[in-house]
Amino acid sequence: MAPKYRLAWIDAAKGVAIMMVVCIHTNGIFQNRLSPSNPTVTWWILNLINTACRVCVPLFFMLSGAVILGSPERSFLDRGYVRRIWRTLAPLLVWSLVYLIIYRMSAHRTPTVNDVLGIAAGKAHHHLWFLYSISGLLIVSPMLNAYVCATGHRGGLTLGILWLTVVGISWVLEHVFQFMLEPNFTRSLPVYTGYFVIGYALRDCPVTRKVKFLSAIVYLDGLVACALLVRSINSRASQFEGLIGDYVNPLVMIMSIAMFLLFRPLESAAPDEQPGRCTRFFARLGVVSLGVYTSHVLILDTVVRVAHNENRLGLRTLPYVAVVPILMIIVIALSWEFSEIAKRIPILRHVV
Amino acid sequence: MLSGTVNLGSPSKSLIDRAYVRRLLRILVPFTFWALVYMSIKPKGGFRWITWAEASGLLSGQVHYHLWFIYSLIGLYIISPILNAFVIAIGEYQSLLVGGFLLGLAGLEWSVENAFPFWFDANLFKPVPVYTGYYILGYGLRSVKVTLLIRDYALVVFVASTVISLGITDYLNREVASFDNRGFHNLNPVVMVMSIAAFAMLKPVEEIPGNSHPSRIMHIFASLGRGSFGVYLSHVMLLEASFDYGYWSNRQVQEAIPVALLVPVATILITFVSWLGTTRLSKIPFVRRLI
Repeated sequence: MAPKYRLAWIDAAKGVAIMMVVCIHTNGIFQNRLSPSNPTVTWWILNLINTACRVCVPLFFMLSGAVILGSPERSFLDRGYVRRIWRTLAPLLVWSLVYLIIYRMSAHRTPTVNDVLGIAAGKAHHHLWFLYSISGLLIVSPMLNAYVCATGHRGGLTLGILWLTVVGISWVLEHVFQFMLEPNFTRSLPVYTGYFVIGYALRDCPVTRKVKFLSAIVYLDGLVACALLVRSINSRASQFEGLIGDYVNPLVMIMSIAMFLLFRPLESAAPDEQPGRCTRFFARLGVVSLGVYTSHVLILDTVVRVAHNENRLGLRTLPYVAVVPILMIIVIALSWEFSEIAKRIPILRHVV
Repeated sequence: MLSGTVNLGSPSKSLIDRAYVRRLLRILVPFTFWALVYMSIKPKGGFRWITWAEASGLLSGQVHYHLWFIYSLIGLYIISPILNAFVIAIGEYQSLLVGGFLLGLAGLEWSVENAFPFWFDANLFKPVPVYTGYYILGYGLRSVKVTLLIRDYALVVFVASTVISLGITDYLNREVASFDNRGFHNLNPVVMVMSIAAFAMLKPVEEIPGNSHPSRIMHIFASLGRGSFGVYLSHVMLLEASFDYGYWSNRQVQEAIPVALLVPVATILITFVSWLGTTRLSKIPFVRRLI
């Protein structure tokens, strides 16, 4: 029998991660309006919020790995594999077209055939980059699955740590020393493979109180270090420079793994034990995270235009520190509701 | 394909397996040595010390042009344990399908990218190295039994695809200033077909009794094959030296050997000399690790 509540912690973690994604995008609009060279208290608060949420995308990769890897299906011809790929590619294709049409039309331009073909070249709306990356991981998932099945959690952990190390070193060399490694060293597997495999390797590890405490310390340390680095790198910048928040920055890697471990204790002790109310709330959001992810940017842009730029809700008089959470809650509520409704409509359910 | 035949399907499983690390080192050590040799020695310029910046070119791919192959091989060797577990899990027949699919996809992408100014998204279309198809196919093909009929077909396909490749090269080079090599690029679908046909031709035919005993000519090629890595690494040095010293443009040589024969003669000579050097050096304890 499939464990009814056993995976609720994964859905809950997805729910928190998607909230962080919306938070980053909402936060980014307002942080970009502040001068980074002369930081105010508001800038610092927005910087801390942004940095704290950078773990969201790595969390998604790790949670996907935790669910997908270690399964009995191994082949490219397996029905479950094909269905999973389709469940990512269909939203990618449909939402790329939706964003393309809406944003071109709003700029009084007609989408061309080249614009549509650009989707295959990775030129979709900016936030959909994640669907390309996760699709790449899903495509190679039978290979990774076979490897982790043969080597177990320990083998998975070794691969994950090695790959994160390679990618992390490559990132440091590129951005600190302006030195590019030969692509065969770093692109033999998708960039985020490390997160994906570590998610599998850590999914069953017992998290004691000591580990939980250490994870919290590591996460907070990483947060402070990242926030200070963001300040340092932006001290002479005229526009906000978001390099430090890169998902393959070694500091973000460490923060993400720590955050993943902090979610682990949410797992129910027994398969039929109902999780707490908070876990259930986030798990419900997590179930529709794909729909929220794909739709929220459209909703966010509309809400910011109507509620803030055109000041229809009187938000312009409020400080950014208050505007960001208000807008974030509105956007999450609307995109959540949209995803729940779309899930009930036969054709739309395949793209959310 | 041959690397896939040899490396895949082995019992070693993990990334930290001793056999895997040793295999990786067997490439990395000679590669590092020869890349540095090519940087510091020029046949006519002699030896010069290289700077750290030049040496770091090893990591960024700024090395002698013919060493591109070693980078591709390293890329495949890095993920070899993953591919190994995968092909063991799916078996040889499915490996054949997967290898063929990956190769077909790489060929299609290469064709589109070269025919139009269009580049596919790397995450979606190139999640593994472009030569993975060849590598897995090598494993999948190793169990395929080659009959006389298959060998004859393979020969016909090989000759036909060679002619097509020649035709494409001729067509592409009619009105261009610099030489266009896309007609025989390794990811050109025609070359893919040619390579698979060549692989099938070289497999022993099972119908012929006593075919398990290699002939004398097979012995010679097997001996050359054992030193192939050393030959690959060193032959360009010999080739460039012979060009730099004007041996092939020497009037007496050109009069003695027609131009059409010069290429095969030079090929045989350089292969033989680099093979001889490789076999001799492979008997010296520490030097053997560098070739």
